[in-house]
Order: sequence, then structure tokens, then C-alpha cells
Amino acid sequence: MLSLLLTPLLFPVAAPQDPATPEPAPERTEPVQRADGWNAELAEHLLNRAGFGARPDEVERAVALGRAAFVDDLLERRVPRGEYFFENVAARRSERKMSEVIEFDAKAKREVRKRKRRSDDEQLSDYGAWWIERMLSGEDPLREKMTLFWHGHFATSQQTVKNSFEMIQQNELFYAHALGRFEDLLQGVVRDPAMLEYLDNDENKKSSPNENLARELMELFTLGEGNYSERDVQEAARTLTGWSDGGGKFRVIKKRHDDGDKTVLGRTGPFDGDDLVRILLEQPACGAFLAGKLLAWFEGVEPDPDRAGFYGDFLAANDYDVTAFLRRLFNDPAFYRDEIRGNRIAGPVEHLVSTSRRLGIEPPSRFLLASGTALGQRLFFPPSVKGWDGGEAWISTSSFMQRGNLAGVLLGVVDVDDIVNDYGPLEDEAQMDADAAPDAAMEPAGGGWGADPAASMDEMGDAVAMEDMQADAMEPQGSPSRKLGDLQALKGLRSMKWRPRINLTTRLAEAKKRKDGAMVRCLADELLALPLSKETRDFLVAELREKRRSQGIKNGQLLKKPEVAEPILRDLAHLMLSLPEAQLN
Amino acid sequence: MKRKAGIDRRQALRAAAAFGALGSMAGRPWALGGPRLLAADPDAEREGDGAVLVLVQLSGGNDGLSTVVPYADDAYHAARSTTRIDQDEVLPLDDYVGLHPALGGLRGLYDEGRIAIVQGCGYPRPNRSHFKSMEIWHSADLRGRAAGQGWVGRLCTAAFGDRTEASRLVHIGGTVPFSLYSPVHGASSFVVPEGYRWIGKEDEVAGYDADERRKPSGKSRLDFLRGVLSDARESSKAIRTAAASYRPKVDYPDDSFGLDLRAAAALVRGDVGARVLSVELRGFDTHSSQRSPHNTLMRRLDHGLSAFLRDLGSGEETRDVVVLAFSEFGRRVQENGSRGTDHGAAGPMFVAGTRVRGGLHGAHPSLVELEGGDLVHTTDFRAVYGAAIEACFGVRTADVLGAGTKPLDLFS
Repeated sequence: MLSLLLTPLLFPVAAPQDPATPEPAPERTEPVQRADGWNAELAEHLLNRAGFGARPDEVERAVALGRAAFVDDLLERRVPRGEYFFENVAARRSERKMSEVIEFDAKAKREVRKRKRRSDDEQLSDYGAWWIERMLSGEDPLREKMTLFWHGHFATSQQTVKNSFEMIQQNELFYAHALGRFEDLLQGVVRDPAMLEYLDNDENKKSSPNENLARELMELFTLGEGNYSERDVQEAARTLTGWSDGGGKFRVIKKRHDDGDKTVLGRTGPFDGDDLVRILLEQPACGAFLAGKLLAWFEGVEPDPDRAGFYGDFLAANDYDVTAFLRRLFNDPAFYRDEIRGNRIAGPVEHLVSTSRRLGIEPPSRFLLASGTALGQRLFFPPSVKGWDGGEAWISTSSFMQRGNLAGVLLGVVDVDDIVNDYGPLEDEAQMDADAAPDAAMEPAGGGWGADPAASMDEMGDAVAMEDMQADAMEPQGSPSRKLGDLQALKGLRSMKWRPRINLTTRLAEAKKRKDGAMVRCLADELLALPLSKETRDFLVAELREKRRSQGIKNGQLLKKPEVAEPILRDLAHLMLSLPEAQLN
Repeated sequence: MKRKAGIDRRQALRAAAAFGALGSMAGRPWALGGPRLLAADPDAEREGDGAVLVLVQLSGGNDGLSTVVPYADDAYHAARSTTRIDQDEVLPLDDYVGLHPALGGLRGLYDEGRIAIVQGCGYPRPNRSHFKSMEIWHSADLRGRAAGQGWVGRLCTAAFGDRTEASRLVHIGGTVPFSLYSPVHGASSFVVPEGYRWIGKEDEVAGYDADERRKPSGKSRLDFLRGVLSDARESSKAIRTAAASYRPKVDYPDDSFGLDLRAAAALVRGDVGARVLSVELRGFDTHSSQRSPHNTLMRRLDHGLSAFLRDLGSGEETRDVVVLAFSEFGRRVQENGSRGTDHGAAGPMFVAGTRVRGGLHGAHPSLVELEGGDLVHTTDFRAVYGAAIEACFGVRTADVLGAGTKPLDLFS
């Protein structure tokens, strides 16, 4: 939590202050408030939720602009995302390569399929890394945050789609409509090739309707369980018959479409998919359902029915315009209430990007992509059509520990190898009891490609691609390397040469924070999203004191010996980022 | 290893987090039922008794008719053309049903009387949504998550009151299922045991955990995370030690399901205090061209589970092992037009263990008298849970699942 007390020390230009507000007493951290109550703490809260972490200069700017103007700035900022080049790898390869091996046996064909799948997955990993770079840049944070929201809301997995071209196209759709009208987005989604494939609508025919897309449209995308009948699902499926895709493009196959009258949610007519979208948006349940999901995402707690109802009505009255919704929300004092601030568990990708931004480092986006996977959020592979559960479901005992370990990598004090490659200190202990050599099946490095110490950044794509194939239920050929599960993606990064360009010693020296207590306070302000309790701060100060004393250095003198100070400070930051407080925003 | 004070404080934190949840997350469906906190049962089971329950979740809706196949039923032949398993392929169990041909290993164990197959398991007014139906199986309550906690969570309260134990509930996999959710009894989880640790921060985190001055923060999520930190610290060491020293008696298949079961066996043999283990075999959500992927899944299930049952169950373990395999629903009787099947209702459950009464249990659902194209369940799955609850934990079914559920007679 960045308080204005620090501002003059961290920023070249002091933050403007309301002349009516008295200067805070130096020993207190009570933030300076503008006339509307807007201050650094609230601005940081907004930046955490609307974007990916808050850097001191960003907080300063937000405070200077004032709340309403800064909210407008977030919503109306439109930094071009850039044109990402992608091609239909799956289609191209399948035509050419399959014809070449048509004469060969099944094994050869399987090899070709694997190669094709691999280059297709490589393209998607490249794109995922590029997307993370967009988040890291902080140029248009809210639009990227909303794109991530829609990815979870309209969860679609490459596991099933198996076509990076379609997955990327879908992400661009989410981005284009990220802050627009929900109706436009929904019309795009029912035409989206990845979605049509994922929910089997390419198999939805008049002669044999497939209900999958129709059901999820109602249950997960617009209305929620209990707001429609089984009959509505069956009828809605008929409206979507023949809505299919080919070559990465939407197309309606007329002879598969059911032209007859359908009765959906009380309306009768010869409806098609567009009519279905309109009918869904007319339902009173739709506004509250979508508002509830948006509120839960931004506030971190499920809204009570009144709040969801109010914002649901607001959405419906404002043409489902997400920008209008967010402008209202971000200017709502209730969004800044105590119960909400610092009480939201950051999702893995958000957590990793935010932590990197707060540290001021630029780790390879491939590493963050793989780390997100290791923490339970693999972009483009949500666990189900329901997306990621989020909230407390992000945290298991293992993901909690792994968050600390990955923070260690970001700080340059933990090797990726240590995360994926050994049993740790207990190995020797266990070996004493063991009567046999280590079981080869438990050696994580047995997979071949990952064991090459010369593996370069270029090969990371292979790592991710390999995992996909092995995870694929359609491919019965299991491989030993599959067993790392979500850690597999990190394995391709074992020999990552990257080290963070970071100098905590200089940072603290420039801020004139030299004593244990001041250093802990300053680092916590910069690295964490919420203020520490006195007990936790005391604990960290005691840890720092012990490390400093073990080097025979007096309090206040540590920064004079950078070669001693830097490892100690990074170790302290690693501990800080391993604590419960660091998982929240 | 256990510090009494630390455990008490963790309980206090969990309790605070749970109560906080009631205030701040009033709209959260699973908070509505309210946690049954700290209801210590003086007659609750002593830690020394009982078996380990292993839950095997077949995620995505396993096609029961392609698993326990009613090969002798004309209606089956009429309804299934591309997914049908004919009489010459099936592994017959009697003159009406047989196992999928890839389930040879389980068939051997069945013949030895170590596997009970309960046919036609389901619940009233079946829900065809994966999520809702899985919630119902996880909560053993038709309200799903609105019931407040998972059925294993309620079981723990009935069996252990408020006496928590970090490694008692372990999920091997990425996401802990709701069945293990309890506001009091936290579940541990890992993808691979060797990665289940803090690197270089174990001692310092222990210092944070041991800080007796810390009070509940008033922020529900922070208190929740502090509880997780305590659990992680305790279970990390126990679990890694058990896994690293484990030498199984059989070879496990090298796919993730096999390796997860191998890790589960290590925890049983290593006696880390685990009483409920959970593993998952994913990929059953097959809607089109179902035959081939379903064959693969059956093979994985068979190889993994029979290795596990051969590895354990020789009587050398400190505790008996009871396996319970389930899926959220079966499939429609009639195939769809895509050489697959759509979401349906009712399916078989597999129960395995040394004390199980092997053989077929429950009646196979009729393939003719359907409800909306679906099988009508003949056994409520909660009766199977009840049998496992009483066999493994010595707790009365009614104390966990309510008075309406009568446990099936599955164990001797």
C-alpha cells in the first residue's frame, strides 16, 4: 500500500494536495484526501482491480486526475493493441502433410498429427505470451483485464478446439468488445468458430439437435441456473441448428437449420441464433446475472441480491453497455468500502503480472504464462466451460506454496530447476530409509527434451506443445513427462537464463530508508497491495534484523554494503511475497 | 511434530474465516447453509480406527451403458449403433450385463470378490449440467453448493468434530473438488508430491505461523489464507517424506491417473494421516465419435485402478482402503447424431476394498421405461456413500447425510 507519506521520496514531483487538507503528521500514515475523499489508497485499490497492480507513478497520476477523470481515462484510453499476425496452422498443415503420408501406416499418420498439433500449440503459446506482455505494459489495463474476464466467462479450451487460429480469433473478439455492449459480444460469441466447436454446435442439426451450446448460453453466459426450463433448452438448441463453422469462419448450413417455430422463454417464432440472443437479453434475470458476475470479479465477493439487482437494472437500462456499468461502479463509494479493499484473492495471471510490475521487472512473458499454468490458470485452457472458479478456489496448500516459489524466481533467488527438478532437502532423509535406488519413474527429468541443459527460450513452445499432446484424452500414448501435470509447462524453462534487473538496495537508499523498520515498511508499500498489520510487520522486521546481525552489521548500516545487502533484501522480499498478505489485492 | 497451540490457533482462524464468510459473502451460495462449526462429538471416532477412503472421480459424465454393458438387452442394441459393445467383446458378469472389454484388470479383481458394482446410481430429478450434477454428487445434497459444504466435509465434522489434521484430506490434482470443502477441515492438494514445498522459506514461514500474537484480521480472505499456510506447512513434510521413500509392489501406468494413484498409495502406506484421498480421471465429456476416446479412458481407468488395488490390500497397511468410483451422470440411452451420446442420468458406481461384498448390487435400470429419454436410477448414490461412511469411519450415515438415507449393505 503506497501512502502519500512516501510520495515525496519516491517521486521527483510531489503529489498535488488539496490546500484545505492539513499536512499529515510525519509519524502517521493517514493518507491525504482530496475534497471528494479520493486519495492514494483508494486510487491504488481501483488500479489493482481495474488493471494489473499499481506502480507509484500510476497511483500518483490517478490521484492527481481525481476519481471521475481517472475512471474516464481508464475507460476511454485506447492504446492500440497492435496487430498480431496469426495463421490457420491446423488447416494448412492437415491438408498438405496428411496427403503426403496417406500411403503410410497409422503410426506415421499419428506422428504427422502430433507435429501439426505441436506447431498449432506453439502459435497459441506465442500469442498467450504476447497477451501477457500487453498486460505487463500497463498501457490499456482495463481493456486487457476485461478481456481476461470474458475469457473466463465464455470459457473455451484449446484442449477441445485444437485450433489456435480460432482461439486467437476468439480472444480478439473479446478484446474488441471488452468494454462495449454485451449484445454485440454475445452475437459474436454465437458465431465464434472456437465456441461453436467447443460446445459441439457444429454437430447441432435439425435432424438431431445438440443442446450443449444452448444450455450453456442460458446457464453460464446469460441467465443462470433456475431461470429457464429443460424445454427452453431444447427449443433454444433448435434456433441454433446449422450454425456451424469451416476454415476458421462462421457459416450457416441452411439444410441443417430448423426453420420451424420455436417457443423459447415464452416467445414463439421461427427464431435463429440472433433472435435467441435478443430473447435472452430481454429476460429480467440476464441483467442481474451478468452484473453479479462482473461485481464478483471486480469486488472479490459475491454481491448480495440487492446490489446485483440494482446493477442488473442499471445494465438493462443502459443497453448492456459495459463501459457505462464500470463508470457507475468505479464511481460508487460502495466499491471502495473496507470490506472489499484488500480482501480479494488475485488470480494467478493477475498476481504474476501485478507482482512483476510492482517489482519493476520484465520477466519473459513465456515464464509468466507457464507460471500461471502451474498455479492453476492456464490461459486458453480453462478447466471447463464454467471457467475458473476463482476466489478461494485459486488457493490450495500447494498453489499457495508455489506462489512463494515463483516469487523467488522473479526475485532471482530461486531456480526454476528447484521447482520442477528435485525432492528438496527431504530426499536424503528418505534415501536413508530406501532400500533401492531412486525410482526412475519419479525422476522428473526423464522426459528427453526437457533434460537438455542447452534448452533455449526458443524451445519453450515445444514444452508447452508437448504437454498438450500428452494431456489429450484422444491420444492414448502416455509419456513419462506428463506426470508433472501443471508444472510441466515450467519444465521447458528450466535453463532460463533470465535474471531480474532489480536493485532493492539502491531503491531503498534513494528513498532514504535505512533502518530495519523503515526498509520493511517501504518494501511492503511497494510490493504488497494492502497494508501490513503491526504483528506481521514486526515479524518481518525481526527476520531482517536477524539476517543483518548474522552479517555483523549494525541497524542503519546495511545499505552501505550492497553486496551483502542485496541478497538479504531479496530474501526478505521473497519471504514477504510468500505470505498470505501478498496473495490479496 | 504437532504443536497444540498452533493447531488451536489455526482452528480459531478457520472459525473466524468461516464466520467472516457469513457476514461478507452473504450471497455466496455455499455460505447460505452455514458451517456446522466446532460441534465436537464426544463419541467421535478415535484416530486409530477406520479405513482410508479413496474417491475416484470420472469427470465429464461417463457413459455407464458403455462401462457396465447390458449386452443381452435388445433395447440396448436398438439404441446404440456406433458405441455398442457386442456380446463377443464384452466381459460378462452375468447373462445380462458385462464389463467394457478394456476393464480386464478390474474384472480379475471382481472375480476375486474385491469389487462391488452398484448399478443405476443417481438421484431424483436428475440435472444434466456437469457442474450442477457434480455439485450434487459433491455435496450429497440436491441443493448442490447451497448445502454449504461438501459431503466429506460434513463427514469430517461428524467423525472428528473440530479436531483438524492437515493431511487428513488430500486431493491429488490441481483443483480440490467441492466434496472435500469444509469451513473447518481444510484439504491439502498437490499435483506431484515432490513439488509440494516452499523452497528455502520453510523455517521463516514456520515463524510467521507460530506468531502467537496475531489476531484474526477481520478480513475473511486473509484469515482463510493464514489457515492454508498452517495446513501447507504441516502436510508438506509428511507427504514428501512418504512419497520419496515409497516403493510400490507393482508397476503403475505412466499416465497421470496412474501416477496420481501411485502417490495415493504412498500416502496410505506412509500413514501420513490421510483418511480421504481424491483423484480424478478427466475427459469423459465425449459428445461425438465417442467410441475411441471412451475406450482409451476405460483402459486408463482399468490399468491405474487395478495397479492400485494390487499394490495395496495385502493386509500390510496400517489401514484398510476403500475405493469409490463415480461420475456425475450417465448418458442418454439413444445415441445422438454424432456417433456419441449426450448428457443423461444414472450410472454404475464401483466400490472396492478387502471387506467389500463383491458382485453386482442394485438393479440395472430399464432401457425401455425411461424418463425424458433417460435411465431412471434404481439406487440413490447417497446410499453408497452411506455404506462407505459407516465402513471407513464408523459414523452413522444419518449424522452425515440426514435421516432419509439408508446405507447399502456393501461391506461384511
